[in-house]
Amino acid sequence: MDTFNAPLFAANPRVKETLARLAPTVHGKDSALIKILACIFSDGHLLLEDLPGLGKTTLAIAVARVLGLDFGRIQCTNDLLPADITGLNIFKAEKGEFEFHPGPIFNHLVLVDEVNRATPKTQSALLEAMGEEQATIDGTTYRLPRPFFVVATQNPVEHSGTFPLPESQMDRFMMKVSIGYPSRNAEREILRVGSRKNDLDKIEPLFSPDGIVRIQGEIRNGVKASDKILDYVLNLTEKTRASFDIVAGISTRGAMLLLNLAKSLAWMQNRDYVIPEDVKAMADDVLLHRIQLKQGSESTKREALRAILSDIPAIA
Amino acid sequence: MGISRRIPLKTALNVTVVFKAAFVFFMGYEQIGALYSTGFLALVLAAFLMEWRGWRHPPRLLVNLAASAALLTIFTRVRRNYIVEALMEALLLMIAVKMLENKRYRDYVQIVALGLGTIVCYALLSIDKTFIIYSFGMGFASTMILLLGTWFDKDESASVSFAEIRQLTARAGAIFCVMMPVCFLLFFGLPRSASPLFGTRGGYGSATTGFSDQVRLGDSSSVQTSKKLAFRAEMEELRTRPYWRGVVLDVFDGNVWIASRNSPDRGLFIPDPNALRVEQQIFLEPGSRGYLFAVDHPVSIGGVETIPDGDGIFRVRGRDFGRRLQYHAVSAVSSQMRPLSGRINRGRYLSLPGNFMPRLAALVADVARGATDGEKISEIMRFLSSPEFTYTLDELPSGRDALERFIFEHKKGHCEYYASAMGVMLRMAGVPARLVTGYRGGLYYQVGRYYIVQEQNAHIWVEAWDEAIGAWVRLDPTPVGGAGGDDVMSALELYLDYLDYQWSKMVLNYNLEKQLNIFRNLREIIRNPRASLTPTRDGFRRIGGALSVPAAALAALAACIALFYAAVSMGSRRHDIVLLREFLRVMRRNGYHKHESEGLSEFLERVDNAPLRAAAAKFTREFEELYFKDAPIDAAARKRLKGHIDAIGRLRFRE
Repeated sequence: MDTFNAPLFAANPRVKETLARLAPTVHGKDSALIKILACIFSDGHLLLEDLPGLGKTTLAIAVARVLGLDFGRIQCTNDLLPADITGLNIFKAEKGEFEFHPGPIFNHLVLVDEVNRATPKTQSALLEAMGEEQATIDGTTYRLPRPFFVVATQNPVEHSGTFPLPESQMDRFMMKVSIGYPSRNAEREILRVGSRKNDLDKIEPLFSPDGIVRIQGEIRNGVKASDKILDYVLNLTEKTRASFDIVAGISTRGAMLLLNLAKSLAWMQNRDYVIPEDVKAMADDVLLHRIQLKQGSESTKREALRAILSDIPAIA
Repeated sequence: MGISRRIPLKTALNVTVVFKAAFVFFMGYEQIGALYSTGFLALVLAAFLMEWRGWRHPPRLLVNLAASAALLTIFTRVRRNYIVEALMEALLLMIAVKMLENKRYRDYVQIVALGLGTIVCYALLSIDKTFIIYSFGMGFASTMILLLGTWFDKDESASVSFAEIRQLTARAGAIFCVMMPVCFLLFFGLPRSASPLFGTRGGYGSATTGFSDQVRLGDSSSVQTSKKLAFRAEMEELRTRPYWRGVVLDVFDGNVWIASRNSPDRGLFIPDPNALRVEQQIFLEPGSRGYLFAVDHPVSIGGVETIPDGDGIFRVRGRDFGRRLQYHAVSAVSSQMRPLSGRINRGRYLSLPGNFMPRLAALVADVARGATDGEKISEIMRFLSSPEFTYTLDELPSGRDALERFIFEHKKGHCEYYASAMGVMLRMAGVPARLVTGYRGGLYYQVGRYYIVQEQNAHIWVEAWDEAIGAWVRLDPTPVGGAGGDDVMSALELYLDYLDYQWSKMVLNYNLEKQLNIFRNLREIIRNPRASLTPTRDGFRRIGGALSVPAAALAALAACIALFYAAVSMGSRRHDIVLLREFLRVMRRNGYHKHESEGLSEFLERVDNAPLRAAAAKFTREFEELYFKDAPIDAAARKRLKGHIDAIGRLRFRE
């Protein structure tokens, strides 16, 4: 499902307010916004795959602002070194000792632009930090701040001089989302008003880092996923595994992440229980980059998943 | 994905009705005759064709007038012994008339009800085991008709795919499976006697039998080939071919051997102490004229009220011969029978008409030259066993001099000739003799551990008095390989007989009194479960009884109650499903079909009719919360949700 029924999210006052505050700066990107929020509330990382110029960076900064998170940005190139991400020890002559200069990764929200331009070595340093939530520099381990959230972007069209992420690295991202082109109305609005980048600073934070950690706990423990929902998720994973077209089905981690995201989505609609629609809404973004077809392109992958979903009874 | 073929719901419904009508036809065919029921079937098929082809229905008034006239003729035929049949005729007629009408849901329900009436009539008329097939078939068809009918009621122009029919069939089967214990209970619980309550068809009065309590030569021969079942005896297998003692024929008037009743010197005997004792449980088919058979010679018979005639002969008290009987017998397997008094009335067993068959008397004087009884017996036996005497069932001598012609000219005959000849010859030789009729042999079925004795096993043999040992000795002059030769049955036949045996054991030999007892016990248990569970003095007998049919019926009832409770408790958990179905049905009426893979919220988003959507949202929200939080749906919630559904329903009528 690509679009959300935004009015449903009005049920949760904080989500409603968030969407309202971001509306002037990120025109018509409600769906992507909701996905990013769900991803953050589920304590996962996001891979944004889109063409340049569609507002990925603006979106990330806006989210960081409204959530009250520190924002760090890494522009990947093929000469980017791991130390450029994690930071490094610099010798301070006056003190006669090394001093640690944290890299951009020591922020709550890190935007990694064009992650597929970095060399595999740098990529793995980044992805390891994402997985471990810590970085080790010269033998010293530094905890990353909590919450810690990476939004990586990549250009799906450009291939020369890139190092595509291997499947196992893709698995580190909870979701792979594309924003897509804005609607005609939204685009007209952008053209009329022009870039609102300067307005980003004016966005008042609605959340705090601690608040987000609390919400994550609240969602984890407070939103009920009934056995009926677990069965629904299990049916889904089973069918991907049994499907003739799919090389390898969804892993247990994939199923778990899907469930967590569904819970967040339920919370964002002010529900304390998951419904099958929550799972369905997240299925594409969580599962598509986790399955490989025996043959066919990205769009047939989407079709295959849709076919599977339409085969699973949602209720009773 | 191929597009599956769909057929109109009404056609599916009509096919099911015809299927059901076929059962009604068979029942009618059996009980009220071929002509009438074939007419019924023709009407039903015509109605089906008419509907299928889309021909116009005949005017209702005309049909009803014709039916009323027919009903009137049926009721004028009602007699005291023709009530149920007439009722059944009327029911068949009414079903056919219903079929001819332009049917709506109501009519289908009426057809189901009429079918139920038919099967009740059938149960009153027949005790045949086909009843089970009919009741299963009818029950299943009725369930199916009701299921399809409910659908039909909602949407008369609906069509149905074969997949859906398959699904419905499975569901009807499941529902019927749940109902089955109830059927069994009804079956065992309904007062059923060992003979049909009404019906005269297939009665036992006309039953042919190979057994008779008198022997008139040249009278019966065809009966001996009948494979009709005489009785079954549950017992261990004997090493020798068993003789089943029936009647002693002690009086010979020169033409007929008959049994004297209540003669003073017929009496008790001492069973051979060395003889093998066998216990038998005998299931006697009707037609024995009240005689109770058992392995020669029977010492005691229990389980029914008997009149001991002496000489090991037992009759059932009363003249209730048209019944199956079940009794228990103990026999001493011996060919010798010693009277308690140690002596007999010789004159009685030697009497012959004056100057009887001088030619034969001369022959006997020539043949039986021995000094002792034993020698005379063996001489006569040897004479009749000579190879010139053979066995036959055809071209038998008949008439008053049949016996003489048999011995001197024909030398061919069956057991009646041989036994009669030997009896007469023994008496002529001065050896007291009598004839015993009964059965010989039978098939032993190892699996069921019982003997199958058929009418072709009917036999007559001779008992001669041997003064030297002071006992009656059994003699069988009939050549072997002839009369009563054991038939060979295929394994299948044996198995079918076994099923039939179980049927009569479980169902037919199961009288009204026992059924009343079941109900009394049940009532006791229901009223005071604790007391009836405490051990009683006859506890062991109860345990023994646990293997009996009443216990089985009790178990069926228990299973039924358990199922009922399971259904009720399941129902409380399944309220959600019921409500959801109801909601989706109401939405369907408004033109919104939810796909199976669709969630409710998703479904709701598709609804573009604003008032409907608002009304549906109320239900959806509340239902989803209860359902996906695994919350129990209590009465209050049920009422609220039902209210929401009703609100949606009302919306439709306001439009």
